[in-house]
Amino acid sequence: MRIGPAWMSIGELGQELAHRRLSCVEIVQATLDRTRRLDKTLNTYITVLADSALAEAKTVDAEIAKGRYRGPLHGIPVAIKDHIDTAGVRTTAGAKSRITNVPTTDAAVVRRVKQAGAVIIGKANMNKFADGESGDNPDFGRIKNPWNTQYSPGGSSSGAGAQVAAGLVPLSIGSDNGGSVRIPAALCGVVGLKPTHGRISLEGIFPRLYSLDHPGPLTRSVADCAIALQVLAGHDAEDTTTARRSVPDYAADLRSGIKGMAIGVDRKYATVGQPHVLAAFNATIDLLHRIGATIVDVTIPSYAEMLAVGNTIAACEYSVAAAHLFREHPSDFDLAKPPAASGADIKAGALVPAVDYIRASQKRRQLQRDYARSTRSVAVFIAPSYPLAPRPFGEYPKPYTADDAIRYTFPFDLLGLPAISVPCGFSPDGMPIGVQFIGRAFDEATVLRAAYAYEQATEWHTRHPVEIA
Amino acid sequence: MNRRDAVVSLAALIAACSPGPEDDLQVVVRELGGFELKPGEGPAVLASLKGSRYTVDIDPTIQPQSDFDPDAA
Repeated sequence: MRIGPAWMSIGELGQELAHRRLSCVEIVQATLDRTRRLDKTLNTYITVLADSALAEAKTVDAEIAKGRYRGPLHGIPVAIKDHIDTAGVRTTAGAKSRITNVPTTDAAVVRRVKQAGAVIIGKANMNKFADGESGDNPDFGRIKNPWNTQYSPGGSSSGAGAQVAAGLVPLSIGSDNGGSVRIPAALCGVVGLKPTHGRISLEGIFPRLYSLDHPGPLTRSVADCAIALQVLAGHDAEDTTTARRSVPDYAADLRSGIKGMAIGVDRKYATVGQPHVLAAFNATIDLLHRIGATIVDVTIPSYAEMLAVGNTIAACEYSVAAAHLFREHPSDFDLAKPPAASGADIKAGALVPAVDYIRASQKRRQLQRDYARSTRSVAVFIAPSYPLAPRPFGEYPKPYTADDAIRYTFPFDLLGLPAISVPCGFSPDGMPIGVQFIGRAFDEATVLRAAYAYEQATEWHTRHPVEIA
Repeated sequence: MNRRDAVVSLAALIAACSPGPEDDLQVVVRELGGFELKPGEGPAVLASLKGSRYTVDIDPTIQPQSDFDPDAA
């Protein structure tokens, strides 16, 4: 059911604003009203910025009235994961111990969306310290999946996935270091993009795993994701990990289709998961073939190897990143369950020999080469986004483990490659399932093009959760 | 215990695949990590450490990964 601007795409809202058929104040007021109504149940926000959002909306309307329309994000309501710095607004990283942390400057991604004229609605709830994918925050409460509020939305960008799926915002900015954008996107039935490492600045984002962290947008469509990436991508002098490569026009080839495009699949890799998840993945392969892609069997490096390398790198990097948090508030880590790191994990990470970290970094380089070699003949590679359909909060269903949960996402953080999750079906109990398109480094354009072609050939993205009473 | 002794002690603890005397581990954790062990936490720290090590031999001529530029990889 469509309710005012709640289900409009960024593109549609932009047209309404540019042609002054809707004012930004109307859109933001409707957004805030909807948030007030639904978020009592969904708990997707830690902080809602009602007053500043309405003030920003008035400024947007005044600018557009004067003919100063800035572009497709101008006047668009946006939410920001609460470990991304916002000047003058508390930024907790999902921990009550950080509730008094009020940054004086915006993170680079916040600066960029503000410069594009977006209106910040609030700070999204998340897994504490961006660690884990349970959607269960012990400090700020469980974030609910809009498709079934008894179920987890995934994480760690849990609020982002849930608020986009519930029509609270058309764009929420999250981050991914093991699957934290793509997992909630898959489990909430929306689109989530983790770009190439270095494509979007990390400046001003709470560091968890230095070489594995990637900011990324969650939206309801691939086209909206392309619009968001256009604004977010680019070199940042404040973040030396960002690439100096030019940013292409992501809309240019978006609608070019995939006729003749070679798409890789590793059928042995894609064998772990619930039967309906794997069935949806296999149906995706068949559909891609039917709409013109050439499906090519490839063999990527083993998950066991990638996990071993990633575990060493993650253990060391998190031990450094979290040491001060642990020393100041050790109880913040008391309730951590795998894959989230406990206090014992942080202590252990400090004991890993430097030679292990260097060996793992060497192997990481070799894995990047091996992966590139094995996928040389294809434009994109596809894999499930998550091995399980959404489920009630709590333990993994047997026989699945925390390592299985990140099987399809963590490798592409390790390899630093762009990957997008788009809806590809529903489980027997009506819960969304996602598929990933993974591209070559800095080739987000092809990833978006393939994902768009698939999306447009299906109707999964047009479904919305039943309105919460 | 100096840093070298702490490393030797840590190596012995890992090699023994057992927690060993918790006092030794406490010294190692304090010296190398700057943390204090909680009572009874030793086994969990050692188990996590064993799962976090990467000891596979690798071609020493490979440059460790430090960027994601495919032209550099």
